Amino acid sequence: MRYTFFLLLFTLNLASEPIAIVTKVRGKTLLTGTKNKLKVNSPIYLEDEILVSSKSFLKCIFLDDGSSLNVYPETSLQITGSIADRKIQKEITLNYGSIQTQINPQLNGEFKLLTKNSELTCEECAFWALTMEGIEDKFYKINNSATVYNPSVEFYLEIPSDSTLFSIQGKDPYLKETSVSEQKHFELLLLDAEESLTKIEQTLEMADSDSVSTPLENILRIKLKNAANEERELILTYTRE
Amino acid sequence: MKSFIIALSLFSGIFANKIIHERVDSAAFGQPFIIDAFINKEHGEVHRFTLLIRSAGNTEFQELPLIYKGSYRYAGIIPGNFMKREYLEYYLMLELADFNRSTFPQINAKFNPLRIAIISQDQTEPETNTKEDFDIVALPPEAIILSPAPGASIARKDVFIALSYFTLEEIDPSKIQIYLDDNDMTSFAHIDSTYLSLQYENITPGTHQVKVHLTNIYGQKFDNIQWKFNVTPSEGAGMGLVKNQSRSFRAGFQSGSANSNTQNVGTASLYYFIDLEWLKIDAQYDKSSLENKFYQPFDRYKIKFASEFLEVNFGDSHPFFDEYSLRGHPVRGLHFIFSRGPVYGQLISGESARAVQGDPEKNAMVISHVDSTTANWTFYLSRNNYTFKRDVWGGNLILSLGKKIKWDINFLKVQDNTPTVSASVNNARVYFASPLQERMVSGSDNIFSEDFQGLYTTYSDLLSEFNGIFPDGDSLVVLASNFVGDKPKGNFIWGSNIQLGFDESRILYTTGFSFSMLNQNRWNNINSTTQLDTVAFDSTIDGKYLEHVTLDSTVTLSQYESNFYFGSEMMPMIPYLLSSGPGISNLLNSTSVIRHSSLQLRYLNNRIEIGNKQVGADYFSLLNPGLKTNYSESFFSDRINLFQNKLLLFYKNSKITEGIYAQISKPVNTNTSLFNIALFPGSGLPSFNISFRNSTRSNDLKTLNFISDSLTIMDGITVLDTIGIDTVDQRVNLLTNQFNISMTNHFHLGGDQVLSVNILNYKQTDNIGNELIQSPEYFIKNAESESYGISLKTVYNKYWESSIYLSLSTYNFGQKGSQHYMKQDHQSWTINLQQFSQGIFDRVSYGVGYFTGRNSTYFTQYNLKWGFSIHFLDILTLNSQIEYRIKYLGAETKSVNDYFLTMNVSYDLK
Repeated sequence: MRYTFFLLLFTLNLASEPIAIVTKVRGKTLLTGTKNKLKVNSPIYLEDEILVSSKSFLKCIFLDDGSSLNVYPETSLQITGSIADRKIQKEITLNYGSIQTQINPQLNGEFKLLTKNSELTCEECAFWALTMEGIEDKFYKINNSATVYNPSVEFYLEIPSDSTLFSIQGKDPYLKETSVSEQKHFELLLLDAEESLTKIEQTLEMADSDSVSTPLENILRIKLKNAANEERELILTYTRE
Repeated sequence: MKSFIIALSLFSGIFANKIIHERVDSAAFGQPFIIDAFINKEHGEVHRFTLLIRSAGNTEFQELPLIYKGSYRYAGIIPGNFMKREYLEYYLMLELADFNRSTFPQINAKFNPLRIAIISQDQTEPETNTKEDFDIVALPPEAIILSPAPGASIARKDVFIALSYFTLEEIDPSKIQIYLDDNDMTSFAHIDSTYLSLQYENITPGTHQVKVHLTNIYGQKFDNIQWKFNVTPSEGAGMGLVKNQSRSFRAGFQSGSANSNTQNVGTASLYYFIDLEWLKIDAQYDKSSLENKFYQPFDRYKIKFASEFLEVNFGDSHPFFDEYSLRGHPVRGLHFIFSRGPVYGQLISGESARAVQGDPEKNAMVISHVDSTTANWTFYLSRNNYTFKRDVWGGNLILSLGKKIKWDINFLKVQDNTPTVSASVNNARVYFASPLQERMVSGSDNIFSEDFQGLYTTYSDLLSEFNGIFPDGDSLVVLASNFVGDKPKGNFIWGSNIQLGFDESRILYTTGFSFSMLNQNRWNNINSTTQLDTVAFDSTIDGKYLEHVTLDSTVTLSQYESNFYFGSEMMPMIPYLLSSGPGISNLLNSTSVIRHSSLQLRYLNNRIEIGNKQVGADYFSLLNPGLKTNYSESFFSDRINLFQNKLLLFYKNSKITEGIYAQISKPVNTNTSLFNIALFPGSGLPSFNISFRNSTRSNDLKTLNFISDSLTIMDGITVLDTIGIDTVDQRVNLLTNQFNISMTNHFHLGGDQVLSVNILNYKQTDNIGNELIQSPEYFIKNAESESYGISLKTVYNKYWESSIYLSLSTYNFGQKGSQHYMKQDHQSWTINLQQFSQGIFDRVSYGVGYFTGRNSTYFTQYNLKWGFSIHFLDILTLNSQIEYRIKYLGAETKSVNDYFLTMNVSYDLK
C-alpha cells in the first residue's frame, strides 16, 4: 500500500510538467481548483481548470507546437489530454463561455474540444467556439477544417467557411450564414482584449539561414478623410514571403 | 505700450505653430518604424499633419499621414521597405485649417531634413558562433517562439518574451543565454526545463531583437534562435470601462531682452486623455503668466467629448466654415461636429471676445465732450477703452449626394453684447484738459492728483465733488450708451457652395457665394425702413434711400431681429433685403457678396484650372477681418508632370482688378504670369527648381490732375499768401520681373553632405519715371534686389552634424540720385553644430552667427547660441536654449546687447 502511494505520487510528479504558459492577461483570471490568480508567465498543467471573469481575458500558448488558446470573458474550461513522446495530445472541455483557438498541425493525434453537447476535432484549425451551458453551442471557422460531432444524435458536420454551426442537444447540427452582428461580436471581443484582428503565422527565423522565410499575412486599412470630411477606405490584403 | 508691443513681437515665435518631436538617430534594417510627434494645436485646427520621407538616393519625399492618437500626439509608421538603405530622411509638416504651415525641423526642412541611420543587416544580425561556450557547431533547433511573434507589433505593457523547447530533449538550462538587443538578459529570465520567458518592463518603444543560445547536456550547441519584434507605446489598461488614458504636464519659461525691453513669460499646460472606447475625452488647460483681465484671455481651456459620429467641445475651439466667413478664429463656448455618411455639420455657440471693462488707470472713463453754448456748462462723461463680449452663433452643413455632388450651406451671426460693458468704472481716473482746469473753482485742488497724463480725479470722487469743482449750474451727464470708444457691431453672413464632379472627378466644377451684412453701430439700430427714407440730407419721404435707392416697403425689420439688427451705419448701406429689385440678381450683384467659380480638368498628366472670384467692397466678417476686399480675380493654370514626375512644369496667368467699382475709383489691374520648372533627375543627381515671374500693375491713367486754389492769408493789411497749386498724380504703372533658381545636391565626402544653392534676382520698374511729365513730389518706385545663398549640412557620424549658411544680398529702392534713394547690403554667416547622445544629454547644440548691414542702415551683429535636450526615464524631458546677441547699430555705436532664454519641461505619463 505504501509503495502504491509513492508510485501514485511519482506519477503525479511526472504529470506535473507545464504544457502551456499564459502570455497575456486582462482582468481577473483564476485556476478554479486552487483559486490562484493566473498571471503572465503562469504555467498551465494538464487537468487545470481556468475561469475567466467578466471583462477579463487570458491567452495561453501550448509549449509543444505553439498552438494558442484565447479565453474571453465569463468562460470556464478545463485543459486535459496527455503527453507522449514530447508531444501533447490536447483536449479542452469548454463548460461555458467563448474561446478562440489557433491549432497548429498536431503532432500527437487530433485536437479535441468538448462541450456538453458537442465534440469538435481537427488536426489543424482555427475557430471560435461559444457555448451557453448546455443549451447551445456555436462554432465559427477561421481557418482549415474542423468537424463537429453531436453525440445525442450521432451526427457529424464539418464547419464550412462563412457559416456558423449550431449544435443543440437532441438535434442535428445545422448551419446558418454568419451574421454581421456575430462577426462584429467577435471583433469586439478581440478589440476589448487588444488582440490583433489579423492572423500572423509564426515561423522560426534562423540566424544563419537565408532559406527560412516568414510568411506574414497583413491587412492594411487606409482611411482617407479630406477637409470636407469625405471619407474613403482602402483595404489591402497581402502576404509577404 | 510700446515696450509691450516690442516684447510681444519678440515673443511672437513662442506662440507660433509648434511641433514637438524627438529626433531618432538610428533604426533597424527593414523594420517598420514609428514616428511620434506632438503639436500645440487642437486636432480640430489641423488640416493636414504628415510625415515626409525619402530613402537614401531619392530626391523626392513621399508623404505619409500622421494619425491622431489623442492628447496632441500623432504617430506615423515608416514602412519597412523604406528602411533598407544606408539612411532615411524625413521631416514633419503641419498645415492648419487656415492653411498656415510649419515644419519640423522648423527651417528649410525640405532641404535639411532629419536623418535616421539604418543599421545594416550585418549589424542587426551578427554572426553566430561568437560565444566560446558553444564549441560544437550547429544543431537545428526545434524550438517554438511563443511570444512575441516574429515581426509582430506589440504594446509595451504586453511585452512578454517566451520560447519553448518542449520537444527538445536534454537541453541544459544552465547554459541557456538570452539576449535582448545584444544585452545579456539571462539573469532576468525565467528558465525552465521546457521553456524560457522574460518579462522586461523597461523596454522602450521601437524595434527589438531577441537572441537565444541553446545547448544540450552534451555541450552541443544549436543554431542561434533570433527574431525581431516592434514595441508600440503602452496604451493603458485596455479592459474595463477605461480603455486608454494618458496625462502630461508641460511648463515653459521664456525670458528675453531686446533693446533693453525685457519680458518674461511663463506657461504651464495640463493634458488629460481618457478613452472609454465609445467616448474619448480630451481635457486641456493652458495657463499663461500674460493672463490679465484688461486684455483678451491668454489662458486656454477645453474639454472635448468625441464619439464615432459626434464631437462636442466645451471651451476654446477654432471652427472652420470656409475661407471667407470663419477660418479658425478662436471661439470659447460650445462647438458641435456631426459626421455620418454623407452628412457633415457643425454648430457653434459662444463668444469670440470676452467683455473687458478696461484699466481704470488708462482712460476707462473720459470727458467726451462739453456743451459750453450756455453759461452753465454740461460735461458728458463716457466710457472708453473697453471691449464688448462678442457673441457667436453659427453652423454649416455639408451634404455629399453620391460621389458627384457636394453641397454646403453655412451661416454665422456675430453680435457685440452691449450690456456687458458697464456705463461706469468707479475707480477710473478722469483727466481734465487745460481749458476745463481753468473753469474749476478755486479751492478744489485738493481732490486732484497728477500723473504723466495730467490732472485727474477718480470717477467716484468726481460724482460726489462735482458741485465743488465747477461753478454752480454746471452739470455732469454720465452716458449710458453711445460711448466714445468702439461701437458695438453686428454681423450676419450666409453662404453656399456646390461642387460637381464628372468622369471619376477628373472634371470638377465648383461655384459658390458668401453674403455679409455688418451693422457698424448697434446703438443706432432702426425699427423700420421708413427710418432709412430720411437720413442725412434726404428729408423727403419718397420711399427711397438718399433719394436714389428704392426701399422695399413690405419688409418688416422685426422678422430679422432673431439674427440681425439693422441700423443706420450699415455695410452695405442698403442690404439687398431692404431694397426692391430682382431677388437673386440683387443678391449676387450686391457689394457685400463674394462669388467664385472654378473648373478643374485632370487629363494626360495635366491639371488645368480656370477660375474667377469677385470680392465685394462691403463684404466683412468680424471673425475674419483681414480678408482682402474690393477686387476681382480671374486665372488660368496648368501643372504638367512628365517622365514619371521627374520633370514638373507649372504655368499660371492671373488678372487681379483692385477697385471693382470703376465709377468710384480707377481700377488697378495686375497681370501676372508665373512659370516654374522643377527637375528631379533621380538618385545621386542634383535637383533644380527654376521659376520666372512677370507682373504688370497699372490703372491705365495717363494724365495728372492739377489743383489750384486761391488762398489769402492776411496779417493786418499785409497779404502773406495768395494761391496754392498742387498736383495729384494717381498714375500706377509698374513692371516687375523675378527670377529664382535653386539647386540641392546630396553627396558623400567625409560624411553625408547636403548642398543647397539659391539665387534670386528681382527688378521692379516704375514706368511713370519714364513719362515726360511728373509731379515734383512723385517718388519713383524702382526697386532692384539680388540675393545669393548657399548652405551645407554635414553629418559626420551619428554623434555630430553641422550646418553652415552664407547669404549675401543687396537691395535698392527709388530713383538713383534722388533724395529718397535707398541702397542696402546684407551679409550673414551662421554656423551650427549639433552633438547627439553624449552623456546625460540627448542633444547639445552650438551656434554662432555674424550679420552685417551697410549703406542706408548700418548694423553689425554677433549671435551666440547654446542649447540642450535631456531625457529622464522616458517621461521627463528638459529642453533649453540661450541666445546672446551683440549689436552695433551705428558705425561707432555699441548698442545694448539682447538675450533670449527658453526652457521647457515636459512630463508625460501614459
